[in-house]
Amino acid sequence: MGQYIFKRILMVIPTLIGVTIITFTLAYLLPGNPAMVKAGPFATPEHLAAMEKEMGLDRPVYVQFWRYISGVARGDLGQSSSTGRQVLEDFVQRIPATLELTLASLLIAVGIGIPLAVVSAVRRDSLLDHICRIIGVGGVAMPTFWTGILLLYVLFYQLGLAPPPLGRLSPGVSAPTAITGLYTIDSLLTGNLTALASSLHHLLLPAVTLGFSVMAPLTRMVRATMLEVLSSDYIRAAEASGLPQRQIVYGDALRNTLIPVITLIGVIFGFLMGGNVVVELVFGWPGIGNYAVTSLMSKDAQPIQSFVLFVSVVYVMVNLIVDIAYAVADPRIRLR
Amino acid sequence: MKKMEESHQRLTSRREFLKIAGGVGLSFPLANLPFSRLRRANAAEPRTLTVAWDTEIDTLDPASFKTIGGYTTIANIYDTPIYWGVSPIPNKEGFFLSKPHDFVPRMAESWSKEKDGSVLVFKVRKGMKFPSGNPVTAHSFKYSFDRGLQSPGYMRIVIPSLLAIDSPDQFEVRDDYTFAIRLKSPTPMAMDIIALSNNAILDHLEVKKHATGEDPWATQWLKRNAVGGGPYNLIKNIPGVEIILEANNGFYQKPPFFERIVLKFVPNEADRVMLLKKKAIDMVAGRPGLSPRNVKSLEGEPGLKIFTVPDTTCHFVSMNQKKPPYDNVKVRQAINYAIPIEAIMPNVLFGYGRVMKTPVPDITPSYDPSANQFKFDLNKAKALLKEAGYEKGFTTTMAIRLGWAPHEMAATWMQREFENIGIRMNIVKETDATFRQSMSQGQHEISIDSWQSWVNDPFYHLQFNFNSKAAGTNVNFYSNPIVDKLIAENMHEPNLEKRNAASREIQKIIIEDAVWGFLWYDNWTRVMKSDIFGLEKRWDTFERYQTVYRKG
Repeated sequence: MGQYIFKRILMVIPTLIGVTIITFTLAYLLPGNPAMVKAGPFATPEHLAAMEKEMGLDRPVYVQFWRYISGVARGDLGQSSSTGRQVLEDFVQRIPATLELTLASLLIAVGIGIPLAVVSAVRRDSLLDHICRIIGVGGVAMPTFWTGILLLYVLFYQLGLAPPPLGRLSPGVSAPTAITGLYTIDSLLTGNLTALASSLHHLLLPAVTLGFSVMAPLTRMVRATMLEVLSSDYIRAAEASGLPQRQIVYGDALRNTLIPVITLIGVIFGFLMGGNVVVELVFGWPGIGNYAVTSLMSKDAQPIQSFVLFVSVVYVMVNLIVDIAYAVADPRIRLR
Repeated sequence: MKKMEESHQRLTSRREFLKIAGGVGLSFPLANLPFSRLRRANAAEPRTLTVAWDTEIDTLDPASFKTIGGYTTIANIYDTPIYWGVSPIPNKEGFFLSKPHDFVPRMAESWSKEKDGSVLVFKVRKGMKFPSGNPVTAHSFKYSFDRGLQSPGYMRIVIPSLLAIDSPDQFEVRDDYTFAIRLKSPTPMAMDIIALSNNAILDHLEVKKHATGEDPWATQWLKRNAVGGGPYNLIKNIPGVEIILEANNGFYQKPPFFERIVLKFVPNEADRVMLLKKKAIDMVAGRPGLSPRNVKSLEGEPGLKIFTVPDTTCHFVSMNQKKPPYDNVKVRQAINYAIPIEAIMPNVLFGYGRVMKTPVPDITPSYDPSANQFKFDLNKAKALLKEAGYEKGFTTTMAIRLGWAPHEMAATWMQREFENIGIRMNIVKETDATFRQSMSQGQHEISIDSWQSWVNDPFYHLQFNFNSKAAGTNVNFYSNPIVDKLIAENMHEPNLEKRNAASREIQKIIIEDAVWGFLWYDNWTRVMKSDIFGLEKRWDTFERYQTVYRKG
């Protein structure tokens, strides 16, 4: 077991090197001169040349790459030209917002999606199954920005139930003392109920929008696996032995169904960390996705590069954790 | 309506709260219940103006900021020697607009001219203090101008070229409260340049504490730290969330109505529209903030009002004269005859703009459209193309900036009409940086660009756009020795009549040379709640919130 985990961790290193090479190449190949953005519209050619020199853009590619890589290793991701701060500082400020949204939407997707899937597998082709299917297909078919705007229009604009899309807390509510940076958790830990209510209120709509969009693949997969498991021999044996239906479904069948779901949840987590760009934009959610889009619009190279790098690293790490969790759950894996 | 909405929200949050309290909250000691805290917060709530925009502060250094967020914040937390004056707009209660050559005292309480205007003397208002407690003196003035001239920002380019100053010795402290600027020769633009927010007066004693051998002008420190003295102080700047300004209690003028300004970062335009309609914010700012189409859709919306005034921003088709066929004047004229401007104005700008007749905006002194004969006439355009030797037309690519809706729409309108005279035009959208790079390297064939002169002066405008030596801003690579000569001779000409005549002559040449494809001048438009008054529009287009108030 220990050996397997060690080997698996070793494999992460070449992946990460590959990822940095790709992010560097992407930024290098993208058209647009970052020095020009930084220098501004009044820049003279001399000013521009000085700026390029300062940013190291006049050096050969491999020197630039080495500067980049050694910077990344030191946590120096460069500077954002729109906020004027270190990219790392911007990221540190925004990651908790994205993480909170991601975890909340994952919770919604898993919490609603899996029970739905189980019910529709057990009552196959019932009305309930059809409703689940419609919800699932709807979640995939409707683009998240559309779902988001629709929910906002109805719940904020028409009914006034949801708060305005202006961030994570209502005006006048100050952020809870930072422990994890996740407002809901921090306010629970510090017993700050005002902040808890306000942050939950603001989190609900974006989390539902995002959760809805990833619920479908989860539901479809759990339903399919569940159906497969339900028709397998040992379930039939259990049924023949006269075990109660409840115990068969929730005890034996569900547990075996959930093994492949671990992988899927990992993939979904990675997708959500990087894929909530649009939802963050629609809800004015101050996370890294929002940061990436605004940087992209102003061709602020360093934040984009760092965003790609960050999302890739999250994927790599999630895969690592999933693989290890898998090995723990299924002894056959580590024997290979 | 407002009240109901508020109580509604409180109700929902209380419902939410009860739900949570029922679920997990029971383990908390009852003393932690937030009710008492809530009530206190409501009672002490300062008068707040909430604005939505989509821009950030790139730097707080007055000599080098570029973003709208940076400029607006600096214009509110710093003060300058003088301001552009504003006058009420007839029939628009509570709105004000600048007039050319109108200035009002700010940190300088008065000024005078010596030696035919080549020396400007400013009397510093006595008794003013920076937030640090340091007094504002002529030394602060000198330090700020010295710094502009010598620190790495772009003021070191603006000050020499537009104020004719190249040595810090030309900024002179006569006594603690008298500051003089010795120009090499008088220039009619001097006061306008001094009114720019880039010349914010800095607390030099404070800034000097942060100067280092490597960074003698404390550029790194001033990026993120403000040593104001303006009507507001910067309280909070969380990129991607909000910027909060609060009234500076030590300010020398009467305190502003709004004690707090909250500038919310709302990147999605549809959200900004919804927030306005729902009255969850007071105003949308930024540029453009709202596209003309959305402004149109908000016309007549109860509880909202639209403030729109002519602005100096020019939108034009830029034709690269280094690339054939645009080196041919007949082709450029043909393009001008093929632009369906009569269709673009209502369908793209919805009335929030004016047709451009000459490169100098219609609210700038010396504006003269008389030479412009262009109108939409495809036969004329075809004939001109034939004369130029392009009877069969040609294929070209038009570059536009990504996310600029009016440009995208205008490009599509032109594409359709150009097709009729044989010009097959592809449209490519580029991000701002790509666009600017390709443009400055002369890679664009034809593109849509825009220009706004912070200083409403014809020669400021002509210099940047049409002088062959203005690399980077003369986007057409236009080069005409006569125009260059006229600009050089009249840039600092003190005789305004002579100067304006020269500007009219240049306009005539540029129209004949069809340097731009003439499109439109923008309106400056803000949509806000009906109870907001006191908004002032200056040449630089960035609002100062000091005079804004709520009525009723």
